[in-house]
Amino acid sequence: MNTGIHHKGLPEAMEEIRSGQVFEVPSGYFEELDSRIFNSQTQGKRSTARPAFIFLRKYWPVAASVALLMMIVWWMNRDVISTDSNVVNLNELHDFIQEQIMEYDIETLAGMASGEETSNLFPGDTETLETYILEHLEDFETILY
Amino acid sequence: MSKLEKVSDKELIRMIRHDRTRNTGFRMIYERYHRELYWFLRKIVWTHENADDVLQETWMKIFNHLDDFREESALKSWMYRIAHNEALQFLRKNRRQVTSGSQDLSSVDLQADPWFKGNKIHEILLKAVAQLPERQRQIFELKYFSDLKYSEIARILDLTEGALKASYHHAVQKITHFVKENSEGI
Repeated sequence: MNTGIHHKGLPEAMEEIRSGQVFEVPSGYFEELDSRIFNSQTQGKRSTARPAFIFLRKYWPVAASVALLMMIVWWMNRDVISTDSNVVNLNELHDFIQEQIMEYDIETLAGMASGEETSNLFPGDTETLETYILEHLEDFETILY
Repeated sequence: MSKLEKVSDKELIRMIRHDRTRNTGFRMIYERYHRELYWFLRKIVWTHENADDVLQETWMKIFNHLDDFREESALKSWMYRIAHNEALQFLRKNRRQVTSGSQDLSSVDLQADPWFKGNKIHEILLKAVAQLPERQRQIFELKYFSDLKYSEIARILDLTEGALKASYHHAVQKITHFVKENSEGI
């Protein structure tokens, strides 16, 4: 058998290995490999890499953090934003104030801000304030709706 | 020239960095390299079954680590390094399991493999490469079985080009010596 030395110092037969001509591959192997690598998520194969899966694996901590943050926000606001229809929606209230603010007398507003008029308009302690709000709830609703 | 051939590796890397083009980028990298990585691995682990196993692990590693690829070397040589590391890991694992019944490469009868079309001298040559010390084998296989340049291999193996060439030269000498010793009478 010819074991003549190749010009690179290697036997000529080494070139036949390098070119791949001494190996064969089952027919349709590459097509089948293609589907195994990219489409076998549903088949539950162990070692098939799937970009979509990798993408989800990469971003799931972010998604979990966002979900957690949303839960915390909801938890903190659950006393404010309620399904009870008697409670005023904060966004609507804000919009109402923005729309109506120019209707108020500037001096009255300035006085309220400094606390001069507050004691005259609303009761002082929290308990009395709650009672006041409940008594005048209908008035508030009339203003808002 | 096909659409895929027009896109450079650097552009493919950019594609996988954006969510919208990520999956297409992966797909194109796979399309470009899956065959040549298979043939590269086949020459190292010899049988189709072995190459198939290692190739799947290689693609998994590539997809998992592409985000960490810092482009300090070419994409191609980075992928070849992963493939070769996977092959070496596979061979080490096989050697460890040899006592529990698995087959070591040195005991593989390639002539009995239906997908091997070579002769005895080809088998001796493959065994000659397999008997090299691991680092020398890595250098030889990366240089001879891929078309990577010395400079690229030196970069991914963190060696000087001079050291790499010297090691390759010694590997060639050992292979020719092994072949001479084992091919008498063939």
